[in-house]
Formats: sequence, C-alpha cells, structure tokens
Amino acid sequence: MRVLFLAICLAATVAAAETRRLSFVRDIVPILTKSGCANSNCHGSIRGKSDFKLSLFGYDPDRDYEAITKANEGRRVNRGEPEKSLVLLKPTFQIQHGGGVRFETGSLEYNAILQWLREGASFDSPGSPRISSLAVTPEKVTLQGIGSSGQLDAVATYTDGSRENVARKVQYSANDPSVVEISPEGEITALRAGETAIMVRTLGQAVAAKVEVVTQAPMGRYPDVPRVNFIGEAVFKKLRRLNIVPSKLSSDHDFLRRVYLDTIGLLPTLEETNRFLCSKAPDKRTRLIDELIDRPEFAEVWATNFSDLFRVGLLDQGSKGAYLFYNWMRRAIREDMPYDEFVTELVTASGNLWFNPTANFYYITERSEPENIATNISQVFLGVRLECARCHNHPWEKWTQNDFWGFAAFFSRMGVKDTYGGDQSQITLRDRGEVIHPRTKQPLGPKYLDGPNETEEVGEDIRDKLALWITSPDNHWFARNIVNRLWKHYLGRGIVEPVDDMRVTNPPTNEALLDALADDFIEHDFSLKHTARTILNSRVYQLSSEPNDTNREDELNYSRYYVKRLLAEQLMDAISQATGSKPKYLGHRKGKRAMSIPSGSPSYFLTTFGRPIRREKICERETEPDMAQAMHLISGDTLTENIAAENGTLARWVSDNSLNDREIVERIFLSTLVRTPTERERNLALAPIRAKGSEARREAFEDTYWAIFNAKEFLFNH
Amino acid sequence: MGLRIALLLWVTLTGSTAEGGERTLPAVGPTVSAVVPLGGQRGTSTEIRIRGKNLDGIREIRFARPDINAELLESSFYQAKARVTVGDQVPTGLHDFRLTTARGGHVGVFYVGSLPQQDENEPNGEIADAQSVSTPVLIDGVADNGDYDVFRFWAEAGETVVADVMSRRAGGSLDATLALLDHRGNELDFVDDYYIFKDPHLSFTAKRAGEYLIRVAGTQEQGSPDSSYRLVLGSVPVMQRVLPLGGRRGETTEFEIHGINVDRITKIVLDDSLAFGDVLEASPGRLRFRMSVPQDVALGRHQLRAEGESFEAPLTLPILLSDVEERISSAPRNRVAPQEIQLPVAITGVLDSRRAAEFFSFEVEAGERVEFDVHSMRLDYPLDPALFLYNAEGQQLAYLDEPAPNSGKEQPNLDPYLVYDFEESGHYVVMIRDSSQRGHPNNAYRMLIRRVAPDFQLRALTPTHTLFRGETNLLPLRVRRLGGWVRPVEIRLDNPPPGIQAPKVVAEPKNTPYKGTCGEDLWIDGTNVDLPLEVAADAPLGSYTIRLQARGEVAGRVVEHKADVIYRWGSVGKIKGLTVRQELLITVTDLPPVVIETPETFSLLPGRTGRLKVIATRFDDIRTPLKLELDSLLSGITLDNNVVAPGANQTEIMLTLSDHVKTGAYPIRLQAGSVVSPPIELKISTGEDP
Repeated sequence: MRVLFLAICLAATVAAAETRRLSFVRDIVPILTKSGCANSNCHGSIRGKSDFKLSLFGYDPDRDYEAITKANEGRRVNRGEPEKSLVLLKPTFQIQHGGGVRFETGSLEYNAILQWLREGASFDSPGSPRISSLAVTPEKVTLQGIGSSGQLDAVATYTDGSRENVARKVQYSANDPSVVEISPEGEITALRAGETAIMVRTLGQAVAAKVEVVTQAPMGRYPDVPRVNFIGEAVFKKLRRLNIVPSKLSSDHDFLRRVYLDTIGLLPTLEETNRFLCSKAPDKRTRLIDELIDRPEFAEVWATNFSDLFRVGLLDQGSKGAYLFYNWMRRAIREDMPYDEFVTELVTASGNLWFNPTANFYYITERSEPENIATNISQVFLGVRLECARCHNHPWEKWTQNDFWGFAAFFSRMGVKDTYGGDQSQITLRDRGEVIHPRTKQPLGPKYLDGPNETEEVGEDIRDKLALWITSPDNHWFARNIVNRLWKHYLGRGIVEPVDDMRVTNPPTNEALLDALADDFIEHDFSLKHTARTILNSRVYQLSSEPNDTNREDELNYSRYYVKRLLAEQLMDAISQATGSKPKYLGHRKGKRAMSIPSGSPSYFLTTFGRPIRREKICERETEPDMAQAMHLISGDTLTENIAAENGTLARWVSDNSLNDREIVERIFLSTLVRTPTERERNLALAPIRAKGSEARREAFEDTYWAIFNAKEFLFNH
Repeated sequence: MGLRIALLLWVTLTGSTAEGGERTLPAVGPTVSAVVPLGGQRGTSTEIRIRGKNLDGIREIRFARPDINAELLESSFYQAKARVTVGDQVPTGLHDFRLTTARGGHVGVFYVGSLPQQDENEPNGEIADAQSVSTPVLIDGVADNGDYDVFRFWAEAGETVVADVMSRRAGGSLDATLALLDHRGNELDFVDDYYIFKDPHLSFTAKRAGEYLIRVAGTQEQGSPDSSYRLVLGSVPVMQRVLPLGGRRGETTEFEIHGINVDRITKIVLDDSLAFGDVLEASPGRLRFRMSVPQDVALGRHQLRAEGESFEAPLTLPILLSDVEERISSAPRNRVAPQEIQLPVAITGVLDSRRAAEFFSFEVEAGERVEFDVHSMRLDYPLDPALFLYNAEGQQLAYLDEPAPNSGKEQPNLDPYLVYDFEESGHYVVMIRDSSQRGHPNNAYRMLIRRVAPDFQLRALTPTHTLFRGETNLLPLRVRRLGGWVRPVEIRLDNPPPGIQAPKVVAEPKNTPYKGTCGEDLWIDGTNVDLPLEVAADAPLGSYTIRLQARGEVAGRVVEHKADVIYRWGSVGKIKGLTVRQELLITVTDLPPVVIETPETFSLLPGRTGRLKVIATRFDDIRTPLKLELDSLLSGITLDNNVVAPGANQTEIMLTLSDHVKTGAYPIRLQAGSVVSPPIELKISTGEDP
C-alpha cells in the first residue's frame, strides 16, 4: 500500500516537473532541506560551510537563491553546461564534497535541480506564492508492537491558498530515534516501547506528529485505580490505553519521607514521623500536605528553584542583591502571591538593585540588552526558546527574526547605570530606545509573540502591557509553563521536557494533563500553593516507586513515582538535620540551612552535588550521580564532621542513659530513612558493640550513619 | 646613541620624564578611616578612638563649634584616642572637627545625639545573650566580621518603635543590616538598605506588649573592628520628609512633616535656633507647622530639628532656604492638564507611586534662558529624578537624567540640572519622573525653575592640603558651570602665605573626562584644575588658611566667586557637601627623602622565614641603593634582601626568626638613615604558618 502511495507521489512530481517550470521556492529549496544541505551542521549553520551559506532549513529562499546563483561570482551554476554545475557535482560527490553524497545522479532530486538549471535557473516571479503553513497527518500514530509501521503525510499551504502534498519533499526526523525509525519518505517503524515526536520540516516551517509504540498486550481486566482528582483521570486514562498498570499506593513511610523532601526540603523529625505513622485519620496525608505547604520552608524550596531559573546572584547583583531578591521571592511564595502578579512584578521591575529587590531580575547582563532580556523572559515565563531566532529564523518553530526582535523591542528603553557608588547599579528606563533588525538594519517596534504590534505612549511603561499579555489566561504558554515546572519538581519529569522548550515539535507527553493542570491553575487565581497541593494530593504523586511488570520500562507516563536524587541543598540539609550539626556558610549565620542560602557561600559539597553556578545560560540542575560525589561521601570531610558533631544528635543520644543501643539504632534509621531497621540491619549495626563492648558504641553508631548516608535509599527520594 | 642611552638611564633612575613631568608627592598628612564610636551625647564626655594613618604627632583636634572640645589622650601612627566633651546646647547632628599634625590635616565628622547613650556589650550575638536595653536609647556598637549584635527591649501593645542604624550617614564604613525578631527569635522584619549609601531603618507597631529583639550585623556578615554604628531604638519621632523642601527667607511658611511618631514633636527648630516653628496640628504620621524664616539666614541647606516633651528627635531633616516662592506640587500626573506655574518658583513634590510623573506648565519669552535645578539626592532622598521638557505641541525638546555619569570614582549625583534657551515665546511643559519610574513615599524632590544668567561655582576639593618646601604642589579645584556659562574661568590665590607663590590657572569651559572602572569614557560635571602652589625651599613651616578667588567674564559682565570648601570625597566615608567651617588649610612641611610603606602587622613562626613586602617611595637620590634595618635590636631576627636596589621602589625583605624567639607581639620599625617606617606589629606565634 505504502509502495503504491510513494509511486503515485513520485509519478505526480515527475509529471508535474514535465508539465510546468520548476519553482525555486517550492521545488528546489525543499530539496536542499530534505537532503540535509541546509542543516545547522552544514551550509545552514550561522557561517555556512566552505564559503557556501544557505538559510537554515530553507526559511529564506531569496538569500538561498543569491547564494546558489550569484555568490562567489555565480560559480555554483554552469548555465552553459548545467550538468557541470557545482550545485549538482558536489552533492552527488562527482567531485570532492565534505558533506558526502546527498543524493544520487539521476535521482529525483538530481533531475529536479538539473531541470531547473536547464530552464534558466531563475527565481520565482515577484509575488509568487510562498509557504504559509505545513501540516502533517496523522498527528498521532499508535504502533502496536515492535516492528509495526505507519506512514506520515505532509501538506503545504501557500500564500495564494493553494495546497500541495509535500510528503516527498519534507525532511523527517525523530526526536527520540531509539523509539522509531523514520524513512526519508515518512514511513515509521517501531523499535521499542515508548513515545516520541517526528519532526517534519521544509521551507522554514516545522510541525510534528506524535508516535506511541505499545508493546504491552491488552489486558482482560484492567484494574480499577482510584483517581482522587483530575490528575489521576488524565494519567490513568492514558496508561490504560498503553496497557500499563500503575504501581500500588506508596507506603506511609515512603510517602512521609518523599513529601517532606519534595515540599520543604527536609526530613521529618522523629516526633513528626511518629505522629504521622501512628495517626489513623483517613485524611492524614491531605492534612500533612496542608501543613507542609504552609510551612516557611515551602517558600524556601521554591525561592531556590526560582533562584536557579532567574540566575540569582549573577554579575553585580552580588550577594546582597541576591539576598534581597531571594527574600522577596520567599515572602511572595509564602504569602501565595498569585503567580500572574509575581511575574508582573518581575517583568515591570526597575530601580536601584538594593532598594528594589525585583530589579535584580533584570541584572543578568551588564547592560540589560533588549535581546538578552527577551530571550530570558520568553524562556523563563513562557518556556519558549527564542534564542535561535536572534540570528536566523527558528529551525524547529515558527519564530522569525522579526518575531524575536519585535519581542526584544519591549525592552528597548531599558538600561543599567551606576548610582551612589561603583558598587551600586540601577535598572533604568531611558527616555527612548529602539532595536535594530540585524539583517535589514531597520528599527523594529514592539510586537507580541504570535500576536499584534504594540505602541508606547508618553509616560507609559510598555512593559505593563507586556506583563498583561504574558500573564493573560489566554496566553497559551504562561500557565502551562509554570504548571509543567511544578509538575517536574514533584514528579521528576516534565510533561514537556525540557521544561523551557515548549514548541509544536516537542509536544507534551500528556497534553490533556498539561491542559487540565493549566486550566485548574488559572481557575484558582494562579496559586502556586493550590497547584502544589493538587499535585501532592493526587494518586499519581502518591504511587509507589516500585515498578510492576507492566510499567518497568515506562519513563514518560508517571505510572510510578520516579526516584530522583536529592538536590544538593536537600541532601546537605538532610545530613545536617539528621546529625543535629549546625553548618556555617560564609556570610550567613551558623545553622542556616543550605536551602535558604540565595547564592554564593562556597561549599565543596553543594557544588559537587550539583548546586548550579548561575552563569550566562539558563540550565537545568545536574542530578546525575558521579564519581566525585561518591568519593566525597565515602571519604570526604562532610559526613565525618557532621556525624561527629560535638553537640550533635548522636552525642546527645549516646549520653542519654534512658536510651539503649537498639533504640539509638532505631532512631538513626527513623531520622534518616524514615523507617525502622530490619532485623538484619539492626544486627549489623550492633555487631561491633556486641564484639567490642560499650567503648565501641559511638563508633558503631557513627558507622551506621555513614553507611546510611552512602546508601541510595538515603540519597534518593523514592 | 650613547647620549640617548644615558638619557634613558637617567629618566629611568630618576623617575622623571624628558618633558619634565611632575612627580607624585607623598601623602604624609593624617587620614582617618574610622572614628569609634561615631559620636557622643550632648552634655557628656566620650572617649573616642580614631583609626587611620599618619596620626602620630597630632597637634590638636578642634571642632567647628566652640562648645565641643576634644582632649587628645594619645596618638600613634595608626591610632589616636581623645576625649570629646559635648556642650549641653549642641544641636543634634553632624559636627566637623579638624585634626592637625605638623604634616597636614584632616576634616572629619562627629555625630551628636540627643538620646541617652549606651555602649554595646559583647557577647550579644545569640538570642540567649541579647543585651537588654531601655528605650529610647542610642546604642554605640561595632560590627566585626561575622559579628551579630542582638538587643532586647520592651514594647507596649500599639507602640510604634523605630530602629535606625547610622553608620554611612555619620562617616562610618559599615554596610549594616537590621532584623526585628520576636522574643523567640523568629524574624519579623529584615532591612538592608533604606537610606542612600546603605544605612538601614525599620519601624513596627507592636501587636502585643512584650519583649522584642533587634539584631544588627554587617551585610553578609561583613564588618571589622572599626565598623562602628549608632543604633537609635525606641518610640521616638522620626522625620522622613518635609513639604515643601524649601522655605523662603523673610516669609512665614507652612510646612508638613511626614514620618513616624511625629505627633510627639512639640517644637521645630531651624539649625542652632535660627528660627522656630509652631506646631499647628499633628498625627502620628504627619505634622503641620508654621515657621518664619528670617531674612538674614544664609541661603542653601540647613537642618530642621524637632523637640519633644522630654527629648529631641534623634534625627534631623535637611531643608533649603531660598528667595523664591516655595510651593508644593499639585500637578495632575499627565501632560494634558499640567499645573500652571509662574517663574521663578521652587516646586516640591513626591513621586510616591510607580510611573508617577508630574507636569508643570510655564510661559517664557523668546530668548529667555531658564534653569531647572532639581534637589533630591542632595537632600538625601532616594529619588533618581529625570527631566523632560516639551513644547506646547507635546514635542520633546530636552531630556536629562543626570549631568554626568556616576562611577563611584567621583562623588555621585543623581540630581539633574538643565539649562534651556527658549527660541520662541509660549507655553512649555516640564515633566519630572523617577528615571526607573519607581515610586516611594520618600521620593521627594524640589525643582527650582527660574530665568538665569551664566554663572559658575568654584570648589576646593579638599579642606586640607599638605605642601612640601622646595616643591610645586598641586591643589585640586573644580569649576562647575551654571546657567549656560561657556567662558574660561581664571583662578588665583588671594592670600599667599610667606614663601608661597601661585600662578593663576584657567579652567576652560569643558567637562573633564576620565576613564571608568572598565575603561569607559566618562566625564565630570565641571572642569578639574590643579592650582600649582610653589613653595620656596626656605618657606616657613606651619599651617595657613588660604582663600581662592575665581573670575570670569561673559558679555562684558564680570563674575567673581570665592571657593567653597567641600569634604574630600571618600575621606569621611560617604559624607559629601560643604564643610561647616569654610576654611582651606594648608600645611607647609618638608619632603621626606624616603617614604616607607609596610603592613601594619606581620606574623611569623619561630625558626621560619617570611617575606615582608616594603614599598619605598624615594625622593632622594634613587640611583643609590637603600638599606633597610630594624630600628632597634631584637635578638633572634635576621634580615635578608633588605636593600632596595637603585631605581627600584620596593623589596621583599626575608625576615627570619631563630628557634628561640619567644612568642608574642613585638613592635618593630624599619629604618633607612633618618627615616623610619610606620610601626609593624610582629606577631610571633606557634600557630599556623602565615
């Protein structure tokens, strides 16, 4: 069937080629994209390749035409002997070509270019139609079993309203090539269970089709899983379709430890653990979640998350600006300032960095260049990566350079100046400003992304309008972006990954879930606490991390709680808390928790475990374990010093005559792993004391701590 | 060729240039880096510690007011001690003192407070160790590195308590933070910067009667043994702004003070009883008073003081006196319906909300020149004003943020000064806003708008200067042009002391450029000139007060001014502006053959060798080697590499201790001929290798 379809396509193209003059825009440029010539690692790169520069994925046919027919004195085109044109000799490797063979002599691509050359290598007539949109069908494909296959089709719509089947002309690529294989003709073959998107590109347009590969056999009786709230509804519905059964509900021990670490970045105290585990209240989990969300440490966890995102402490914000900004965020989160207000405060921030904490948000570059601000704002608040469009049209999205610089124009009046001294800066608003399109050299006015132009009146701050647009419930990106970030924090993986890369070619793994979370967030006045509470109360969050036979391979659909390594601050605070030590961070009072340090305060431990150095680029935290971490835990001084802290917990317990050795071991386990030791663990812990007597007590308990702190069960949230 | 090499060698060795460039003369006059405590209490005596350099041989410490007296107790190179006795009629606020040695002088400040004073007592860093105080009180403290000072006090329910840390405002160096804690230590409020230049302030109304805690620390725990502060604590009146910010001489004006607890004020006093204000009505946050300002009071900046039943308000408030109408803005905040004003006028407004802007409409004739002189930062308010000038059609004619960029190298100024020549008669609109479009209740400004003739201002950039005999010494001055002055200005010394000559210098009408920290091109709002003071080799030693006169001509009109004297920027922390005693003191002394600079302390272990870096700035024959020895014998110490090579200006002396040297601190000095270095405290310990 597919063979027949392709044959018809090819025949149609050939027939078309024979009956009409070929269009450079519609026929030739797509060949350059499909063949990879206009890829970012080839002639589509910012500087081109071997002195030949094409627009990235063919977004600018005018420039491509110049490059092929006129650049370098037109040497790429031989009008007298078209077959000897470099534009044919190189990709067919008739002469040396760094990019190797892109298509064969006599292939359809070859013949099309040759025909176009023979016809005079002309450009399309003025006003000729250009591509206006691209569509792929089907948008969703489900493949049952490894080796099964499907076919994609692509249709281009042009500015004159005409439509054309371009399935043979577009470039296909799989976001995760380990899940499916995609042929140049759009045929998909399943390789393993999973999901991915197929990106379809031509003439600067990019769309995607979602592909699921299901390998689980349908079940006779799919178990009935309680939904609790709309999150369960959306997640379990999809799991059922994929024939995946979610894990069972987590134990109280596991839930308790998990929810404390995720919500307030701390372990429960012994008293808190006892109280929860002994409670028979049916709603004890819900009550605990409410308690935790109201604790000040909840705000510190999110102030730290936002500090990463906003790169708090960068440049001359210094420790002081970072501290003020962090405090402002902590207070806002603690008071559950609606997120739309929170963002409005930041987008419209200005003034002296030390009088106006929010002004530090903008001090991420020395001169507050509009283009850098635009990139930052779109990425952190909308999850839209505009950066590519600064220099060329975006390769995987619709963003053009005009879009980028139009968005940057909202910040054209912004600047930085010194105020009271060399160490004090101010985000200021000049009387006027403009951005210049780097290619056309023309000034551009403010323009919303995917929206209209905007103007600024005298006395206005146009950023007020921008903030309204950004935080509008109608803004597709805004709410989805933040709920996706919240979701990732608690569930370990964003519904869209990376969380700041929302685009049509990177679709969510569960669109219904993302939409429902966003709608609920908007309905509840953009309350971060509400959404956190909703997620934490969901059955999905409270699933066990232990896999079953059906969900062992699932890494996308939240069929179990995905274990995650503790963040650097969580880990350090958990160690300090469990051992009762009081660490001292430079510039902060002794005993201050790592999670409440805004930035700076050098710490080998925190750096080794992934506390980010906030630099020019926004980047996600590294939470992958590595050898340096393992070595530090095994032989570094952090554990030794904390465990042996003079006035620490162990010292108190050991000197407390009312506690016997078994009880101390139990307390060590409860205060670190939030569970009692197994009999084997207890015996192992007490063995040295039994062998050497009471003088070995302290050392034995210290060794128990050390062993636990090195265990995955401690290092990971599960 | 041989001659060229010889010349090159000579230039290298002497440090002079072939063009006869000037050499840098050493700083041998006293400098003060800290005064601990920063002030005293009226009617009492306080022992103060002065830290700095070249403080040995202090001749006198004299205050500008005769009823503040200082008795020198001791003085050494790095430190002096004195007892300061403050008369019981001395007004609250900053008071100048001048410290002089045979080698120069320093003008510093001392804050006289009205509240009962108490010293901070360590340890008081933890809640459990908090120092209990009775309010109202003024606490003198020091925030060392990593130091926290916690004070416990009682507040009644409904009582509004103020905590105000003064350090930068009193010439101190501490960048302080303030935290308010409940009795359990929970943080209720935290403030880092409140005033410009970083002093913090907070106030709170106690919800319930009980103990509360105030914690003072350096920002990010930064501090030093010299980081002193004064903490005002209690339910005291604090004036935060006065409207209008100016008063007209010879007239009675109604003013409004906004602040905290201001209903406890019974009397307003201008400076040292120059005028008194009658309170008309008052509430806790606002007070209205009427004051008649005598005609003979000096124009410019003065201080308002406030007195209550039993004590004077601890903080004063600046006010300007003028001869123009002083009005409070009632400007609608849009361009379509501006507030009509008649020139000349001074308008006071407050840009209290975000995007607040005020518009004023005025009429001028063609050819008139008008100045727009805004005071805000110069009156210590946090506003950063920006001015916009529009014609009747709404076309923007001019915009000014500040006259010159601020970099930290120069005294900062955010206040715009705009002069505009109107070519056409008609209505115009001036708009003022914060440059960042922020608002704050203390964003007060005073904008003087008047027709103006070209003028200028001459300022001596230091109140004291050291001159060396036989040398040409450069006195730094600045000419600032006002009202569109575009002519050169000639500067001369009016009263040359014996043996001193000063050729006239001319300040050209061009702002002086300089490089910023990153090499950027910046400029000064004015022209810097150095007046060369040529001192004869036999000129008599001693100190003299000199007067400088500047003269310029514009359109056949001669303009002359005397020099104002200002604090040298950075010499008294962030204190800026005119010194109280408008005297420029020069001290004639001898140029030392060598100036030796060494670290204040040096640590070493017995049996070990350390490198002691020494800088020797030479004014003798640099072609000869300079040997440095210890000025007194100390057994067990040997020096190596203790000769500064010809042409060089530094060396690293290898200082070796024998194994038998006892631990302890030993004062040592280096000596080169008749010249000795500052004292070095040699710390010998068995601790870690330095």
